[in-house]
Amino acid sequence: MVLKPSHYKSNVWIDWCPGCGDFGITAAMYRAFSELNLDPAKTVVVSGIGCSGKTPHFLNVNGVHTLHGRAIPFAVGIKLANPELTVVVNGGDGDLLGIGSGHFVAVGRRNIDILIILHNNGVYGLTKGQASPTLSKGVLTKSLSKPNIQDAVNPIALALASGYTFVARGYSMLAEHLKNLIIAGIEHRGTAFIDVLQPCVTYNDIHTVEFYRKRVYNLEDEGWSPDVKGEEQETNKKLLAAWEKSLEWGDRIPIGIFYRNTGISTFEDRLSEEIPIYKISPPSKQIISDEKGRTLIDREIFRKIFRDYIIIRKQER
Amino acid sequence: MEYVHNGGDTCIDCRYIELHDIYRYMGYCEVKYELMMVYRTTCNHFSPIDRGELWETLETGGWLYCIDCGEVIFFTDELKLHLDHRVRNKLFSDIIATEESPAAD
Amino acid sequence: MSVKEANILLGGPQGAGLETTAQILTSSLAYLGYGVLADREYYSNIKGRHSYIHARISAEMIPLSLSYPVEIVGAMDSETIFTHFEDLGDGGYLIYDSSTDNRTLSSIASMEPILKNRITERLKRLGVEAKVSSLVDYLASNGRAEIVALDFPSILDTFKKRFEPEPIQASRYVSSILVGAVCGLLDIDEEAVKYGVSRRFMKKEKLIEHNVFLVNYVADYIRENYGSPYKLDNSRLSLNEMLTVMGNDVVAMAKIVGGLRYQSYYPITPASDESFFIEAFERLEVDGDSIGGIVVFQTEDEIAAITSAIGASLTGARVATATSGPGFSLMVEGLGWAGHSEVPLVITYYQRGGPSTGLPTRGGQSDLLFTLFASHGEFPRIVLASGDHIEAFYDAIEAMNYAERYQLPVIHLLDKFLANSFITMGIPDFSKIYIDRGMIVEDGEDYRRYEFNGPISPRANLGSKAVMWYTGDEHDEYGHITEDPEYRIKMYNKRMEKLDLIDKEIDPEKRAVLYGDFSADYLLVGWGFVKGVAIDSINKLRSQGLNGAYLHLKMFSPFPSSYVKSIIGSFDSDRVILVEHNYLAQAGKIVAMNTGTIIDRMIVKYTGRPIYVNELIIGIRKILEGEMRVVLSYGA
Ligand SMILES: Cc1ncc(C[n+]2csc(CCOP(=O)(O)OP(=O)(O)O)c2C)c(N)n1
Ligand SMILES: [Mg+2]
Ligand SMILES: [Zn+2]
Repeated sequence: MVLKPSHYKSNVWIDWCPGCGDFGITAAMYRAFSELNLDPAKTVVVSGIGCSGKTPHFLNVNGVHTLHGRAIPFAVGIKLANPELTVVVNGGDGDLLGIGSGHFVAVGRRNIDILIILHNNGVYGLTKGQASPTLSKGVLTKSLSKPNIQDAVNPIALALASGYTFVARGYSMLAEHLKNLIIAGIEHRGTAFIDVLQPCVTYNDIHTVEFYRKRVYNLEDEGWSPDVKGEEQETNKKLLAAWEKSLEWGDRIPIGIFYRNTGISTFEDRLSEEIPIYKISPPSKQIISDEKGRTLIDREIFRKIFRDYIIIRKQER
Repeated sequence: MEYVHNGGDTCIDCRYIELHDIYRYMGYCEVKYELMMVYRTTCNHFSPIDRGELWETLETGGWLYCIDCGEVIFFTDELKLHLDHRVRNKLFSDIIATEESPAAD
Repeated sequence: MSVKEANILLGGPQGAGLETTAQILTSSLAYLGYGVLADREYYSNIKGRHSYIHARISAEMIPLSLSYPVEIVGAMDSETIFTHFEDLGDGGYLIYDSSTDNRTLSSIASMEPILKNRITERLKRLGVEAKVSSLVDYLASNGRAEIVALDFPSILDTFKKRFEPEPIQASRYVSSILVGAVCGLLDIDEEAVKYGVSRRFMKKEKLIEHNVFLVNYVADYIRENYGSPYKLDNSRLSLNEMLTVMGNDVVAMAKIVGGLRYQSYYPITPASDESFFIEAFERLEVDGDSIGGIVVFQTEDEIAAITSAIGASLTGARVATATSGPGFSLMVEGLGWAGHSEVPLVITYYQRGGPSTGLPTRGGQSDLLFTLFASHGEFPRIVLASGDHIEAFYDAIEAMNYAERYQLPVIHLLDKFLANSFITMGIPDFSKIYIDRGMIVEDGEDYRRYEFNGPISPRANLGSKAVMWYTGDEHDEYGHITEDPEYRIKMYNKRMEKLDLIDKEIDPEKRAVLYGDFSADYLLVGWGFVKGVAIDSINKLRSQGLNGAYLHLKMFSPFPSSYVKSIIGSFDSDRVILVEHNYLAQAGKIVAMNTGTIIDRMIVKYTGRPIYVNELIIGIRKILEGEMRVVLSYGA
């Protein structure tokens, strides 16, 4: 049975500001999940705290609304314990690149098979519009009392530097395009990242719909090819090109897939090499006792497993 | 509905009006650069909202917002429930929320 | 003549063979059936600072505690002699390297100046020049000690004439000199030596041959020249098989047995060894077949350690994380999320000396209040503390059972003393072990994760047929956010009432254990590693005509209030004494909070070193004579 996009919508009232950029991201998720026909019971959306953090409540799949900045490690634990699940992270720019930036970097090194969606609105929405880590220096939004004196981090470049194997950018007002990115991100084996440009209608009067409408263009339309398959030289070339592209910001802002490397092993692959049964029998799937609650390891097995720690006493003759 | 629309070509159905995101009896006129009480006013710039255009926006943009219901519309199916309602893709948001919304979370 | 027990102290520069010495000795002794408890004291340093091992060996029991003075001090270097000469009992044996005779105290760079000054003062008062030979002469001439002077370089030269030592194993040979001397004094036979050395160097035949030779060579020399003054009685322990383990190992073994399938950690002393141990068994292979697999995940920080463990738990895996104070400080927000969202989670918490980085490699019990109150808001948690290696084994499994049965975080409190001390112990009793995963459901229709069904809602896992939501916000039965005031009360109560349920279900006598009886003259109240020294001190005092009892507190949340109150209440208030490794006597605060009984007499120690029987006995006597607070400080 194919589930329609509407099937993925929960019955919780959406309490984002009218016109919020999160609408488009949510819309794209409904559509992508439907196109991929994801089983809601085998799909988990994990979020942090902020306006973006509420996303899972509006989706009719498993939702885990976690702590500010910690969505990634929660998601990593979920994925590693049950790799069969499709795991998507939704985080704010404060969430993923401010308080949670350590996790954002660390997950790239592992290439765990999850998708991370950045709700990039330039502000801390839910705490009233303070500058987020993606707001450029000198910018004065209506929520600030003086121009921002901190520099912005470049999410695309940071993802590339951290080892993400799928790096893309979308724009929340173009949900159909974003949907395709989400599909590609979920289908990608490895850590996928989508930086979603998103107007904040209440606090960010600089990065508005008007602002983006004039600037956003599609990489694909200009013949950009993001793909590489792990070979070191090629990878470096692609990375460099993608990095350079990521610096493009101003009159023209590229969206689409910047970089996709399908030749890097996932963390799950690496774990399987260490623990051969991992893929068939990951932590969540293992039976750990018999029906009577007895441990799988009994005294005899214990003696075998830990023989190096057991000393058998010298037999007296 | 609280505010009954008295029919005819009042500003509320004009494509140049951005309806206020909370108080649906107000709107901002992009032509006159003026706040209008949109239920009763009319003007000679009037040009009706093109529903077809709106539906297209739903297709590419992913959502519309029904000001009457305070609901996001994501799917064409849902539109049927809001046929007579003020459904928009762009809203007028004044500065007040910035100033007076208490911080949350 | 022979002895029932021996206390020894072996010291040397960190990272230069001391561990090897201890491991060989422990294995050899266990092979002969003796009980051993060995505490490792070391600096937060990789190489070069003074470390020592303090052990008790018994032919009658598995030792529970340590005491001074010792019968043997074995010194790999001169710093050990200066640091520990007064730890040696009258008539005890000092083994030392006579090639260091000319070494002066002031020339020992690795010694902390504060200690150097203290020893200088002490030697001045004794009228002894601060030089190895003078100190040794002083000890010998006063008949205080027997001196076993071994010229380490010439022993090694002799050895070198017969064998080709492996340069990269140089320190091992020094270890073997010390092992040999101790084996001589205790009269440990060649077979046991061979056994101990072989175990330590597993299959490295050359190294085994070299070191067996060296140990026996020195041991024979000692036997010939000194006899074997501490020849141990034949062991009367009934164990035929013994585990030789540190506390870290025991807990790791327990977690493996108890079905742990996911452990996250960020490196920190004294907790990481546990995770390394588990990782070494990640494939769970028995006779070539795998009976499971454990993911041990080194995260980017402790925040990720706890949050990824929570994530894994949501999928139904049995999970834990292990840490120490600084790490737990970072975990606090995650802890609250787990408590609020009713997630089964075990945090194995090895206390060390705080605050801040404090004494990273030393012990302490100063985090009890922290574990009980950490994280904002109110939520149910279990805090369970183990008193010795054997308790730690069963508790580690129980902790995982409780976490899943009651769907909450369980903090298993241990400390560095236990984590890093070696013990020989029997193989656990498997009839006492069971696995309880609590109420788990699979079905999907209209599943409500927080169904009002008493304090425990049936748990479906992410990945089952059910769809569910979790949030750190207050939530409804489905796990969606709600701020409704009346609903808030219902959900809040549902969570908090778990504490009543647990209080009802877990026997108070399992949560607090009385050793001794109500007719005793005084009652010690303690927890954690205090257990052994408290019981041994009581026994010692009993032989001196003072009858005491020890109340061992194990579960601090939920606290067995009325049981503890009734026990404490049956003693005169001036006969109840807290014994703890912290300043405030923190368990006393918890007793007062839960029972209304204020215990105002206390013996505390916060030097980072364990409490020893010799000093505790004095402390008890002082309190019984009217002192209110005794601060212990024995140990280098
Ligand atoms: C540890 C912690 N610190 C601070 C907060 C307060 N807080 C809630 S949301 C938020 C910022 C949200 O900004 P962002 O991540 O950009 O998300 P947005 O609301 O813009 O989607 C902050 C600082 C918190 N919840 N937890
Ligand atoms: Mg933001
Ligand atoms: Zn409507």
